Amino acid sequence: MLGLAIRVAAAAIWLVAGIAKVADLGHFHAQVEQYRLLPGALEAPFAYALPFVEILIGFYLLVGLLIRPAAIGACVLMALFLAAQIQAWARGLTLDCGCFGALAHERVGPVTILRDVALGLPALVMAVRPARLASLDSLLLGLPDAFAPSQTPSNTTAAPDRP
Amino acid sequence: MGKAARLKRQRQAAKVPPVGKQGQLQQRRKLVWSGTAVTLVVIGAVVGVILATRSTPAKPPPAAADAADRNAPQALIDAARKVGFSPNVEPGVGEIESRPASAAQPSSTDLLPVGTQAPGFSLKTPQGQTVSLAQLRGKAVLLEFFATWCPHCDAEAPHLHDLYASLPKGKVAFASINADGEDAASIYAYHSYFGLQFPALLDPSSSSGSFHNPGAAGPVTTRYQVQSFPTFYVLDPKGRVTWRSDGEQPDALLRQELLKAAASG
Repeated sequence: MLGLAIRVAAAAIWLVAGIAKVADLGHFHAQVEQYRLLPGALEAPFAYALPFVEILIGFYLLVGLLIRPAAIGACVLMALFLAAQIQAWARGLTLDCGCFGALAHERVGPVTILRDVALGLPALVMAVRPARLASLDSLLLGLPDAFAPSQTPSNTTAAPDRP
Repeated sequence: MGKAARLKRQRQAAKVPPVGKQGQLQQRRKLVWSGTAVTLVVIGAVVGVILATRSTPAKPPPAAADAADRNAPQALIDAARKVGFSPNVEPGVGEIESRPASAAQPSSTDLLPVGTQAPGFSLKTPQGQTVSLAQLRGKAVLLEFFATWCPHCDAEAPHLHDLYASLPKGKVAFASINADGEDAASIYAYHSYFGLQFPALLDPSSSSGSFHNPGAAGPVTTRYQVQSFPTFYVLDPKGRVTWRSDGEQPDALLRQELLKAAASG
């Protein structure tokens, strides 16, 4: 159950982040612009595609489909977000984090960076140890739950079939 | 080598598809990955449609520079020319300005509360002339915090130019404060391009910025809790905050708030 709880938490984080951004794509685009990290031509495609990708990752984690690849994708995205925030903070830029679109407004700094590290942990756990209880991975693909209690090795030998 | 691995290798070599449960699982795996790829393509297509249907506005044309800008030191004019300022335009920006006051969006950041005494400042124009908030007492004041590279600020600039021209100078004053510590050349280039008749002020910071590289917020920008560009404050003649918001604003709303503030003093 612990594994399932961590997976649902990871899913919720990415779903909330994605849906909040989709609700106001123009605002998120403005937030991406302020980081000034991407070439101008890439800012809009990135800002408009990222929220949908976040929702897809959250959905996959929720239903337990391709848990490990989805979690690895989440970790890669989180690493990119952290790198963007750390460079903005190091440069002393006054930016709205943009982490949850128009849902929350926080200035980029140690608080948002540490908060994002914490929010990235459930996905990291899923990438290392996918929880496949009540998941499509288990149902469709027959993949094992890394959180399932390991079977006790048998210390007896099965008796041979009697004729 | 285990028996299963040996069998798998033999099947691969013979190009024989796996049979039974293993084969079913492999087929499902392929199906799931294909579905994911199709979903990503659909997301790409949706984004493409959204981007294609947004209209890109035309660049605001350069306006006639005001007298102070025309008479600026040659070194500043040369430095500004090297900046190569040109307004950044993007689809979706510059639309709300012409709409009614009711089209305004609520502020997206925590700014100084209405009723607060606005923090005082004494800042310089690119030409070195000092402008302080104390000098503007007795008038309603529109403070705009901007960055020269910010498309929303570039979209606002011609509107602020026209709005300022249409308001009574004895009752209303405007000041634009650069919010990311940009150098004098960038701010001069911006100010003269749009022919602004009100001052654009430098707020130097620990990390200097420019039209090409954003810098850090200066102390005045920080005191006004500016987090996004543009951010607007309207002050009454006694220097108290009567309205504030961020993002582009309808001209009608700025006019209404300024006249209200001017009347309240």
